[in-house]
Amino acid sequence: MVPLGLLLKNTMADNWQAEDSSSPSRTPRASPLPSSTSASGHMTTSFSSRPRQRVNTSTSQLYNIPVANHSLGLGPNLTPNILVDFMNAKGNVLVTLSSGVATPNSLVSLLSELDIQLPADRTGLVVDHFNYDASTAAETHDVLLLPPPGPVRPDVKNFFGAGAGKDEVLAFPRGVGAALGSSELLTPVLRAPRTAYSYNPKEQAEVVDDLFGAGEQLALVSAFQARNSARFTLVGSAEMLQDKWFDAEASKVGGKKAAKTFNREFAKRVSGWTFNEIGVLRVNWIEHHLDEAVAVNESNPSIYRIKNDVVSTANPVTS
Amino acid sequence: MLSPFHRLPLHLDAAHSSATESAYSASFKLPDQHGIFNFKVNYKRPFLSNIEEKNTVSVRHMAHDEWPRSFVISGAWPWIAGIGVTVAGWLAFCALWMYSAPVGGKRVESKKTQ
Repeated sequence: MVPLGLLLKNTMADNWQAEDSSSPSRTPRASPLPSSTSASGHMTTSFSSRPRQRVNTSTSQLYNIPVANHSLGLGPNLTPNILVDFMNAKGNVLVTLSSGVATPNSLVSLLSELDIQLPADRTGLVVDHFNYDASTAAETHDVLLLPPPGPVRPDVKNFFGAGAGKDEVLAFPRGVGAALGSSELLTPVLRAPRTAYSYNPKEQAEVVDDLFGAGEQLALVSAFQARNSARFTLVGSAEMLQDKWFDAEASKVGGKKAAKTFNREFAKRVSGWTFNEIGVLRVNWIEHHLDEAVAVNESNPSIYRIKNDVVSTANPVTS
Repeated sequence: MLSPFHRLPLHLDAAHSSATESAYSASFKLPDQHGIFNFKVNYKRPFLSNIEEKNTVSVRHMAHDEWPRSFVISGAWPWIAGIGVTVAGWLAFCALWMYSAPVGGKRVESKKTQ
């Protein structure tokens, strides 16, 4: 039974509750979030096969819940609109998928709002015949072993792959690859290697001819940051965040010896980034003043004269 | 947003930075336009949270005594020289008039005719 998890964490009031279904129809603009952001507790919501079960904890553990194999929705209280409102209120979301479990429709529509395309229901399994783990997936080739990701641009620090040992690999078992749109707010964290492709395990044909995506088109872990800095991460394989893969020895096909997996550190980085522990900038102060020789030089004056020389200083801090 | 007058990179300001935090600054000349202006920082990079800060200032015109003084303007020197020459000439004439003897030594006596 493959787990599927959804984790929401915000820093709003502790008693954030989605409205219960006493409203007869889903009112699209009903926002259950309180308008004040006074308290700073956090709340974890997880869904299970029993609808409307809400677990309020104040820990930040990833909550993976095994779900039954029948297709189920997220319940009437987690519509895409409510999740979008949650993100508009600066909430962060981490979503994991798995190739064996159907993705709920509300989640698929939420992802298409963010310009992330998934293969049709349960038809996406990322497979690589050159980079798979020979010890666990010798036949099915669906456990990918990838090098930890590098920096996404030369001027940006490597958040997710830094500190990896020389031979460490990331295991990505039985996951779904997503195709990212060209939104400026979307960044792939982990891309599939060039020899990977997404295939439909139910199709029995010998040759896979219409592919959802192949190679680096598939984003296995993708990150979205809204303009108000709310973060949303989609991890294509829920199993890669399981304890069993944290310290496993995986041997790549064709490789000589077993390599340790980087999954524990990667899980820490991904959840740390999503929940505002890593990579958060805060501006402490911004100050401007006149740069000419005057007797009194006040800080942040409200009026200047044309053609004055001004110095403006900002203090951004990584918190 | 209106197109900005200046679009400048901020450089690391070692004077205000310490080991735990760093300050970035830019120094520039305000444009030759009066009005209400914003100093905006708009920094968006992948995986870093977005920074958008705005400070609003007014920019006024030159005051009457902030224009360059006329003796600083080289094109005005002929006129200033002219004024100086006029003043000096007038004073020289006054001095000459006051301290020179009247013309003609003999006094013409007026005859009283009865």
